[in-house]
Amino acid sequence: MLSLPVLAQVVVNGVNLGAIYILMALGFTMIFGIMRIVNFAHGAFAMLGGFALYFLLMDAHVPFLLALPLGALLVGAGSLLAERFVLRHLYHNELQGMIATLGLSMVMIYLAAIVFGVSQRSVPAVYSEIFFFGPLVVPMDRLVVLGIAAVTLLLFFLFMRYTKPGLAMRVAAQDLEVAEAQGINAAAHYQAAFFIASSLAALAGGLIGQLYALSPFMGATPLMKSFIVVILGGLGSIPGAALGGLLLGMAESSLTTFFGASTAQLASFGIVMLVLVLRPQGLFGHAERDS
Amino acid sequence: MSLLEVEGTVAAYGSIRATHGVSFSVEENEIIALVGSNGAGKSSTLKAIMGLVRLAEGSIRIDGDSVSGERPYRVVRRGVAFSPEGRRVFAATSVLENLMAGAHILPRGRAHERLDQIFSYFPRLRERSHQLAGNLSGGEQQMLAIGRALMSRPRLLLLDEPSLGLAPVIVQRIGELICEIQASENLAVVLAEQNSNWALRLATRGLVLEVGRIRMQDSAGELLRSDYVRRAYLGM
Ligand SMILES: Nc1ncnc2c1ncn2[C@@H]1O[C@H](COP(=O)(O)OP(=O)(O)OP(=O)(O)O)[C@@H](O)[C@H]1O
Ligand SMILES: [Mg+2]
Repeated sequence: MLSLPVLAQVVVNGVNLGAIYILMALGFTMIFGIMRIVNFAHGAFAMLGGFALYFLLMDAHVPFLLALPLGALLVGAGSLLAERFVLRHLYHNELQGMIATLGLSMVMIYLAAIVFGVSQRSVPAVYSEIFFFGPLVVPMDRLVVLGIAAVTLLLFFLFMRYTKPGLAMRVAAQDLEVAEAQGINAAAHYQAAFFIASSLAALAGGLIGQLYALSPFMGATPLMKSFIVVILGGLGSIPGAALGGLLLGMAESSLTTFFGASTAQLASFGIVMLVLVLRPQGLFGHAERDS
Repeated sequence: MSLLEVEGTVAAYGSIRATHGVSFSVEENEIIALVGSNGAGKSSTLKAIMGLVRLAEGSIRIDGDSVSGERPYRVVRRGVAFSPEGRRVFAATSVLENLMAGAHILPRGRAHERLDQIFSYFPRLRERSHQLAGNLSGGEQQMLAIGRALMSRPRLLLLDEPSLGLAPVIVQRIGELICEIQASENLAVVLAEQNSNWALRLATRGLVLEVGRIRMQDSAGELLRSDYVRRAYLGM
């Protein structure tokens, strides 16, 4: 059973899952790190991303590689309404932020159920080719997912690391008052961060909608995965989200292959509880300091 | 018209009033010492100028234009910079990025020019530019906090307790640097300090703040000679 082709397949699937988890978790951890909000509506933005992609493909006949980023950006733009009317009033207020975003998520899910209906749809497969690299079987759609995730992650990394708004967001996350005293307009950067985070979730939602199925409730699982990833990586840590996402993807892929899907789900939550007990700041996070 | 005019300011944290009507003005090209003991309201006064605490009463003007109640990012654009008490460098970020964050309001090209200038004042920072700010010594962090504030090319620099917790020889060095930079950039400096002796020796004028009000204001030399100041603040 433990042959090279099987192992290779485990890696391919794991990296794929990991890429989607990272896309989800980055925005989730970013909103917490910068604005101190545990955004329970993050999964609902992923769901909207799935539907946006569906309608762009099916009704507007936009080509897939354009529809995917376009759908993500549309959802990101729409998320600014939620920022304006809900989240903006809750920044740095962890408890109220959690409750309000939980409510926001319910509103979004049930509005989606009313508008889109609850019947499951799926984004049609755009790529049906299957590649054989030696013993390795790789469907084209998985390669596309991987490529898109890799490009997005690279752009995100470059943005945070090398641009002025990226630096402003990083320092505002560390000390808001002092960041504002450097001339940084915190409110504007919060808006931008929220736009980016929701767009990333929507992009992940599009990819999930393509690999699995589309429903108003589809955001729950990716939200849960974001939690696991940021608990592994440390809440608020961007490198932690990247490593945590990859770790979770690989773990699920190998456990699913060797022990079945239920065991994999069980084990990933088991690991999370273990991490929380032994290393509450996450595998890569720093201990919270009082401030 | 003065560079900065502070008139009857009451800085408030929620319903708690930290100062009770503070008035003074700062002219271009001078160093003013703002001295007073714990809780006198020095930090609150500087933060009120920056827009970092709520102004319950009074007004603040820069070049005659009101900035009362403005957000800090707008005050910075009027040429004011602030180095906070306790340094508060961005610890998880490199020295270089701390300085670049200080130049947020400048275009990239001008920020890099400015960086060279700041490194010439603080050569230690150049040597450590790729280290995390949190790993610097206390004195280096203080230099970084001042350098970061200077990056925006301010006309008015507000320094809150730059001597806090530093060894005497470092304090002396920082004093020399403040004077050197002030002179070469024609900067106005407000120096809020508990170390009254040191601050008054650097300054041209001084203000004595007591429980949220200005008790005395005079030339620094007069204050250093005054019996009251000598007894209450200089321990003589
Ligand atoms: N965040 C805050 N919330 C409530 N009250 C505050 C806050 N910060 C300061 N105060 C109060 O405002 C008053 C003035 O404090 P401030 O920090 O301005 O004094 P200071 O002269 O800077 O003192 P120190 O020399 O100790 O730094 C004090 O009574 C203090 O308790
Ligand atoms: Mg103080």
